[in-house]
Amino acid sequence: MRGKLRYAGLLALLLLGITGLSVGLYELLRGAKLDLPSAFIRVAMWVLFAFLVLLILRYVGLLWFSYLNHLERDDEDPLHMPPVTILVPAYNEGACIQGSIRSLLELDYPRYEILVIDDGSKDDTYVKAAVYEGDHGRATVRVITKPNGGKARALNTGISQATSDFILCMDGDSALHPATLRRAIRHFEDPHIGAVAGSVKVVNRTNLLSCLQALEYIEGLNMVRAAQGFFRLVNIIPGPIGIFRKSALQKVGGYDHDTFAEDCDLTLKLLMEGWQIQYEPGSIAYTEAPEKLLDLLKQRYRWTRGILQAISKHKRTLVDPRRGVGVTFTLWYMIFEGIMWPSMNCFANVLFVYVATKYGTALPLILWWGQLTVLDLAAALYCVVVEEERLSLVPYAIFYRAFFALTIDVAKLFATAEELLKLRMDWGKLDRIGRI
Amino acid sequence: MDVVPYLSAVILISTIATIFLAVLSYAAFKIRDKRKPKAKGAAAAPVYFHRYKPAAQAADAPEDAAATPSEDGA
Repeated sequence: MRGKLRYAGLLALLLLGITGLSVGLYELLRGAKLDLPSAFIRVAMWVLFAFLVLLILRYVGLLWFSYLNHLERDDEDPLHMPPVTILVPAYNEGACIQGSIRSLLELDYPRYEILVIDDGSKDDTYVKAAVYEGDHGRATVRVITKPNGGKARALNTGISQATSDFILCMDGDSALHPATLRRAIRHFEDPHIGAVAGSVKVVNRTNLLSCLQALEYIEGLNMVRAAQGFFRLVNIIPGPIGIFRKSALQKVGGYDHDTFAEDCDLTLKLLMEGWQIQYEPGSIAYTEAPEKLLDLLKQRYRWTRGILQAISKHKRTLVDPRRGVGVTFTLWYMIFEGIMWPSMNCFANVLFVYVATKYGTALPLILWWGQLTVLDLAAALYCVVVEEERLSLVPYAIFYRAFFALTIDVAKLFATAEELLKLRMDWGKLDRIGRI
Repeated sequence: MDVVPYLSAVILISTIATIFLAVLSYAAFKIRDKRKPKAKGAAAAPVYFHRYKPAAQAADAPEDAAATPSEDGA
């Protein structure tokens, strides 16, 4: 409880800091008395600053609800620990698969099954996984192989072969924290919970890009999931770690293979069916993040188009709240995060650079950049403390806002345009380094 | 000392550079993606992704028309 109260003090301090610095930045702009002759630019700037206020509300809301979810956390052991089947789909994961299986054998859970589904790999994934096949005390390892058909089909094969009522789906290139199952399974004592989203952390923090992603996963993804978890409305159960009630998976027909973000698509299908989805920060998957910029863009390109495809499948719910107001709101939130924010960020930067070069004042750019950096720093500090991560990650928030976010937003914008134009795409599988 | 002009210059230059680099990186990603070697028979193989059809329309279509095997999946 003391820890939680300490977080309350930290949160209050951060909210005060956000307010104070935001007011300061706006005063700076007001005092500058910008003289802009173009009506278009004046209107655009007002729209962008109104959007900035929306972003402040977004950050404050996320911080607040993620804190409320944190208060609700119960660290007690679950009353029941039913058997769980862990599905490990693997395609050309020869570099990582043994590390993944080894981490799974160390899970702190009384009885579970590890089911590796080799998706027709061209490398030695099957041979390397088969080494571990058999009984390992608390865990049993099974390895099956099938012709290549994509991750969704591999997972569906696993779901049909799973012997337990609860299923953990992960990536072949990920490793799990020992407490993962113990922490997640207690949420299923509530019969309305259909799935639990875990926390994904970057394991290869070897260069600036991967450290920025490490921060992004904690601040940008886990904080959002924690806040959504308060409403039991997590909108994306991450591919590296999702725990499901098998009956819920069967009810929605498992994974579809008509989008490039099958994890997001499945999550939306569960929400549409009325299942609730919780977030569990103690269920942790360690994953490799791209270490090169072009690989990162490849990944984000697929995420962006995949999420848009998943939203498109359920677009009727955008205007029809019969599935629940919360579900409709979640879809709109996804559009906000996926399309509106990246578009506005790109537009703002281009406009403010134009204003700076044409009219000789960079104050609007400073305000935009400064405000977002303040918000990112506050969110990063809170998330790093609550998730007991390294404080040295926090200063990366400055680089995150200065370079990383804009680069990703430009890629998202192009990917969105390509999706709207329905340009052909294929799976962008990343080459794994094998750091797990 | 007034730091605003220096701060302005740093942020302005870094923003311009980031925008250019972001666009160039995306172009480089697309070029690399186009140049990657295609698997044998890829030209003849159907495209992996097919747009989702609502249930009413999909009922007429073959069961497995939604997707065909991809080159790399998991």
